[in-house]
Amino acid sequence: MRQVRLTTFATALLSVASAGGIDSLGVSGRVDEALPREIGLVEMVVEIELPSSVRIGTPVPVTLRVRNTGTAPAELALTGLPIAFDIFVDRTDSTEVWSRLHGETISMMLQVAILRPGESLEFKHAWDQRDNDRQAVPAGTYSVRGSLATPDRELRSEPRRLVISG
Amino acid sequence: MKQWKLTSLALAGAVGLTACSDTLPTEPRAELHDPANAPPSVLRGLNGQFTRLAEEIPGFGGMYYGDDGKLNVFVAGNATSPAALTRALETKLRGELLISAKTAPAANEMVVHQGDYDFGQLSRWYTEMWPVLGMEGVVFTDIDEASNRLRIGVEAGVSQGEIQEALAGFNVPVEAVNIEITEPIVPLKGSTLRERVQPFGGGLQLVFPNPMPGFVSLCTLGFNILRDAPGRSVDYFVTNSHCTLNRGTVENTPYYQQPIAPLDPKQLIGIEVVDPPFFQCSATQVCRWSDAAIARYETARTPVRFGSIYRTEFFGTSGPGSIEIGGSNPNFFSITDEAPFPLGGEILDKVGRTTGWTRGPVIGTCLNVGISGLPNTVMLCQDFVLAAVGGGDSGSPVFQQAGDSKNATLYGILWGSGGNLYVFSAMENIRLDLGDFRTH
Repeated sequence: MRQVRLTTFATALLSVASAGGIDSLGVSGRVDEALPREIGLVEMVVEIELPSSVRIGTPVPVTLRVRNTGTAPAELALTGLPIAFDIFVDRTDSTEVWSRLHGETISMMLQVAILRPGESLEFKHAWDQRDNDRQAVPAGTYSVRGSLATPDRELRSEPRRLVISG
Repeated sequence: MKQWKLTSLALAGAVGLTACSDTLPTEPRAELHDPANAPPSVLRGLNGQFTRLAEEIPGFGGMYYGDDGKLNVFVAGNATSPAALTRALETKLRGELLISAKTAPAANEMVVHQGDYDFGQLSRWYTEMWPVLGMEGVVFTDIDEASNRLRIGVEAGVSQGEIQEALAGFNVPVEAVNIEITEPIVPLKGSTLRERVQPFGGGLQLVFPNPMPGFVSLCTLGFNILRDAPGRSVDYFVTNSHCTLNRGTVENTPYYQQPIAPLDPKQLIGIEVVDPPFFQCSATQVCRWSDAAIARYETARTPVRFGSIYRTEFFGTSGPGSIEIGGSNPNFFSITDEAPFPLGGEILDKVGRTTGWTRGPVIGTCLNVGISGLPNTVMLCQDFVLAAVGGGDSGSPVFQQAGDSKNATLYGILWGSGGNLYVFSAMENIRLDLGDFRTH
């Protein structure tokens, strides 16, 4: 028998050390039995927050947030147990340096919540500045973006610039 | 051994006292007699067994397990005394292995009831009144082992007078028939794997609570099984261990078949009952052989389609397949065999609530796999298939269609994904974790 890589990632609602950093998940959405299934402008927007610059070797705190910016409650179905949010770090030439779910085996459960207008879910992770081969990355400029997998489509954030200084 | 299991299955129909195993097609049984004269299900399964018993033990009127676990037996007429009948029944039960020899009750442990009708008589009338099932609003017909009567379920508003008139035309005495109002048990609505669909079979959506406040969880029903409980077999289904409130422990996770929210107690279909713990497999790691757990169907009248997986309209390879199941006339795959594990290169199918029926080759066999989010936890000897998969497909039955036929060989249960492949636990691993059960 062969063994594929074992990795460690945080469980939802907990913050634990992991091979790729630190994770946590904040929940502000909920299933509400009283919520009507209104028809309206439903828009789920994914945003990513991180410092614009950090010193080399310092964990980079990243927050991924999905928000219902529409005018009606909306169902949000997310893949994975725990929810499989992804973060990509690319070089300026768009080649991938690191992704949170690289090589991971995701349990394919679906977790569903209803977000009211303005409500959001947050996912946090601290990138340890190592690439997919667990090697420390050099100083430089990188592009960071986030992604959430739903059954219908991938929700992506706009990329953010990150400078790692020596 | 296989024959014993088949007869054990037949006896299970008495437990829930439902519209019974008549509606649950399985492979043909050897005890059929006069097949040319009987409607398709009348002399099969439990009805066939009891009819034969009545021929051999005159006055036998049927039997069932009571809530106290005791075997209740109806004795009709004077052809055989109750004591002689129960003694003969004890011999039959043990000698022909209708019930496991370890659990078959002794004659003096049986509870005897005076019945009005010999089971053979009920069976003949049941055959005679077969056309009633074609009358508008008639939902089911049954030989009710618990009342020593025939039983007809009708929708509300159906004229019982018309039913009784029809019975008279078939020379069936109305006093031998209980007519009751019931809900239709054909597909209630919906025509996809994600809606409320009956009967329950592999591939349908499961909805269950999520430990995270505000969330509910979705997975897929893998396959139905029968387990040999003391003296009986009961309907269960298999889904993933991670499709429970907490994997590796039994927390009685309730499963619903309904739209996603809110969870409706009326739509409860099953409760988690088996989810073995992880075991220590190295100094720092815990392991399991399969991501599988067992739930028991909860409602006595749950229509369960044993040995069946819903067959959607088409399969996908690089992309999702169909989740459409044909509305009121669904198609099924029939599980006719099991493979303990796959070989590399075999082409396998799966049916899941998210990406439907997909098909692809086995590209990895017997790999030890880590689970995202579970440090130091290893799934031993898992298999990979290159085919479309999506969140919610966890629990999907993995099988191989036999040519273009409806027959399928069951290979395991899907639980994970890494990129464009899915990961599943093979049947041999599932049985290592969950013990003995029947899938077909």
